[in-house]
Amino acid sequence: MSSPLKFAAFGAAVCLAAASAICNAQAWPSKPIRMLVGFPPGGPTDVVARLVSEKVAGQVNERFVIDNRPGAAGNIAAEILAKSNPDGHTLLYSSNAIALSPGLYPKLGYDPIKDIAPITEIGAGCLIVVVHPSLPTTSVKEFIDYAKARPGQLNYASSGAGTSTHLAVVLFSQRTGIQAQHVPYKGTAPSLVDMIAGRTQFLFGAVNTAVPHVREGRLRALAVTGAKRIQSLPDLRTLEESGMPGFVVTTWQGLFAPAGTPAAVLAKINAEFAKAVHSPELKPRLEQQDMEPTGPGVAKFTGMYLAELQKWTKVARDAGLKAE
Amino acid sequence: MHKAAIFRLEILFSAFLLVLGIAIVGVSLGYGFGSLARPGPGLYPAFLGVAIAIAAFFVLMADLRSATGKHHLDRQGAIMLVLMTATFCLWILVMPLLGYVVVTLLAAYAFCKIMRLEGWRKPLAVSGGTALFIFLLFDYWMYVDLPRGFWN
Amino acid sequence: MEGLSLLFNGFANSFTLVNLVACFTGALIGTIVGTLPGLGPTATMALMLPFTLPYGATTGLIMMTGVWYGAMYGGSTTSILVNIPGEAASVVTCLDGYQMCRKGRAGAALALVAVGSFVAGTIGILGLQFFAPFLGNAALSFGPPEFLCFMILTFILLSNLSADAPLKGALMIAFGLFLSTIGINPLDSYPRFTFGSETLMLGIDFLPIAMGLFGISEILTIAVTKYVKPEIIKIRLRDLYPDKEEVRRSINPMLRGSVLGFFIGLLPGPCTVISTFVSYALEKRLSKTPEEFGKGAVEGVVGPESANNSAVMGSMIPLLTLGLPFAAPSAIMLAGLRMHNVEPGPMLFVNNPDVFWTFIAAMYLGNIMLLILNLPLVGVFAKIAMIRPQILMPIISVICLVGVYSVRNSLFDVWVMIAAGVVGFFLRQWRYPIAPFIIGVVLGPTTENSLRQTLITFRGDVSLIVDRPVSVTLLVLAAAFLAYKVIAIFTGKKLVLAVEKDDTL
Repeated sequence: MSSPLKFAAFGAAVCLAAASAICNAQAWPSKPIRMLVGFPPGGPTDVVARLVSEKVAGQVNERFVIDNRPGAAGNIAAEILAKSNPDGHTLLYSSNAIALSPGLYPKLGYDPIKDIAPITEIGAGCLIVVVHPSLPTTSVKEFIDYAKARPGQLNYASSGAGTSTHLAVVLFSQRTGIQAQHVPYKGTAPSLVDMIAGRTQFLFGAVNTAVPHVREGRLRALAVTGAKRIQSLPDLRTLEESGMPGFVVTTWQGLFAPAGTPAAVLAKINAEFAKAVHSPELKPRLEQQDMEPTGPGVAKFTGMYLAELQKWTKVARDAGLKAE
Repeated sequence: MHKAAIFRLEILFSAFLLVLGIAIVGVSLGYGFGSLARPGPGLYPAFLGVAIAIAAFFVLMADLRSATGKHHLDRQGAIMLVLMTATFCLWILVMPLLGYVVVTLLAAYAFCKIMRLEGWRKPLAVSGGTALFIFLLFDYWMYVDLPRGFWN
Repeated sequence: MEGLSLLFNGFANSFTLVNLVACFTGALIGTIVGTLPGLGPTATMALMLPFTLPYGATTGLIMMTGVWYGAMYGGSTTSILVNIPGEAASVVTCLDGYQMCRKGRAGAALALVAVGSFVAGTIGILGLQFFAPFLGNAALSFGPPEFLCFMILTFILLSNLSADAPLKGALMIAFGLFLSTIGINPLDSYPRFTFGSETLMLGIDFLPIAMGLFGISEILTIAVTKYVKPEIIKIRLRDLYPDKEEVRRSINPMLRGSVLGFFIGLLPGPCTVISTFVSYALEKRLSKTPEEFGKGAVEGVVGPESANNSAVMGSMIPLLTLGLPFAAPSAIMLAGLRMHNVEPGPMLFVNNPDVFWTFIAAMYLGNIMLLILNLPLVGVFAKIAMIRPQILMPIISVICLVGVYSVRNSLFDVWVMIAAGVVGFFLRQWRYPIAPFIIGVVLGPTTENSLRQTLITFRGDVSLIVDRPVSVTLLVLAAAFLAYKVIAIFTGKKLVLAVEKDDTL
């Protein structure tokens, strides 16, 4: 090709690229959006993912296709996201597992900082500290004393190794110095069964599944782990209020894109999801799932994600929990 | 395939399982047995490995003793087996490249011909109809994400 | 009785057009989904969740249960016709159902299964209606130790399946159990036997193995056998439906399966699948002609199929009374109910009793609907079985390929299916029983998890198990069965190391 022609071709390419970048943001979405979910269909994360996607689909007039890729506590889906085309049409909906599992799996197939672009948080909830009624403890302080007097004798249930129900207790144990035996279960339901039956003594569990049983008297609630009290049990104190300042564990769900997605596209997606999350249709449904809709901006959420990542990696490392 | 060959394959299989069982125990050792109070990841697989090895050993002994070799796969049968399996494998290999509609159609046609369906009209009708049905069902109705190859 | 008046209310509510349509749609979709290899009821229900939102809790619940229920109905169709399990709970039906089809009794099998499912469903709904509150609490008493003992009992019961070649059967179970350990164990996030491969980290899914082992191996076997064109037998209407003898033999298995399935449904885990295995093993043990099992014994078809339908109802109990979903489909229904602001659990009967009763009424209706839907189709389906293999096998082959792929979008799964098909082909040639293999794969995770959880909670002291009455009962039962077997061996039956007869088991 002759020189001027080459230059013209180059110039045209540059213009096209710029135009398409601008157009991209305006044009999102331009085709059906693939929403990766790292958990099997029907699980709590999946259900909310579908709800929210459905709402946004209506707002932007484009289909969302939920792609369930369960496995390795959501890592498989995250890895697929990291390797996807950063055009805003492949997104990942994840629970806070995405911040927890890197601490447990040092050999990840992706870099949780460099390969992921956080977009927004959909909602945040917390865990509830429950004990079996046979324990003579009615407050967090009594419980800590009781547990300290019996190192290694108490069992606690979790919904699986590496989940927030497990790591929250690890963090708690590190802070308070108690020693308890971890009994992992596959999912929330079996962990609750054994809690109610008294085979395990305490649990830091998901609020919506535990609260009905607390109301029935089958379990006794000591505190919630969040920064604020929960709606369903407004008299229940938080752990901070119970004498553990700075101890806050939230369970959140968020939206992510591959790193390299243009900032304009990220902002647009953020805006749409934030709008959906605060809409009168979705807000009550999210609250039912014990999640307070948030929808922060991209920068704020990115900061939050990085902080969570750092916190839980440290917890896992200090406790010596590592899968190979 | 010669009579004896299949028979030998059977012996190989039980021998393979015996070796596998032992290998499993070996790998499980690396995962750690833990204690009875805190079972490690390797305890259960090791137990299974032992069970596999023992059972395979006895089956192997029995197979070696009963030298009947009465199960046979004649040449034509073996060819069919290879052709069918090859078509299955080719579907897997080619599908991401050319998209599932085309490859399914081709595979169905191939299966028809391998199973000795006469002519070309019937196989075409069968494979075309099936491919269309699959397309409507999986893609259109259930929105399943299937590769289109480079026709996207 | 207060219950009856509430039930009448329930019927009145369920007769609304919306609910009836929802029930029918759910059942229809469920039947189709159950028939198709690959997609299962769980994923379908998840897909349908958003659509049920505008219609209210009861309608949504009805529709989704219809799907699950219909899937249990539909799954048996392909098992019987072409030896391909549409989903996990239909695997056992392949064993004798397909043999019945080969003997020309496909229509009979299909019809009996439809009726059996109906009976089981009715019994299940009755159980749900009357015993829900009481049984909810009973479900709580089943923890890891109980489950472990139940698994031991199940394995001993199931060892009967390979009575002709017990060592090969044991080998197959152990191998199946081993395959289920490949991957990351959810209990401790520890990858095993993955050798760094990410695909293996996901574990080997059960469905590709089942489809390969049963379906693909059958396709390969048919391809290899020289096809002899049968004489054109005119299909008489009589042939399409069961004869008196078959009906007579089916009555007890139907009832037994229904009751058994209902109670097994109360348990956590893959209850529908387990119910089919246990029912099959039980029927074989109770039968006066156990050697017929594996060759087309009608009891072996009707019992398990009834069991899996009533297991669906059984597993609704922990969901509705405790708010605890024990099976994957129940989890989705829980989510759906929550979205409609209905909190299942002990408060359900107080706060939203109409949900419960309308649901019960709709299930009765749905049951009838499914029966009416399926019985006439028996004729159509039976004719499908008569299609020439040259046409039928290619169609089935590609449907399996796409179907398996569509579950996890995984080419690896398709490879697994093909490999299982080839291995299954040879296993059948060499007279290895393949049912125990599948059983090992299915029951593996539950067995290991129960074992480990039990050991952890007991701190390794297994003798603590005597403190638990349910566990002790189960262990005693297991020991009794084992003793019976050992005595039977010593009093005459020879211990055979290889299967001599032409046995497809």
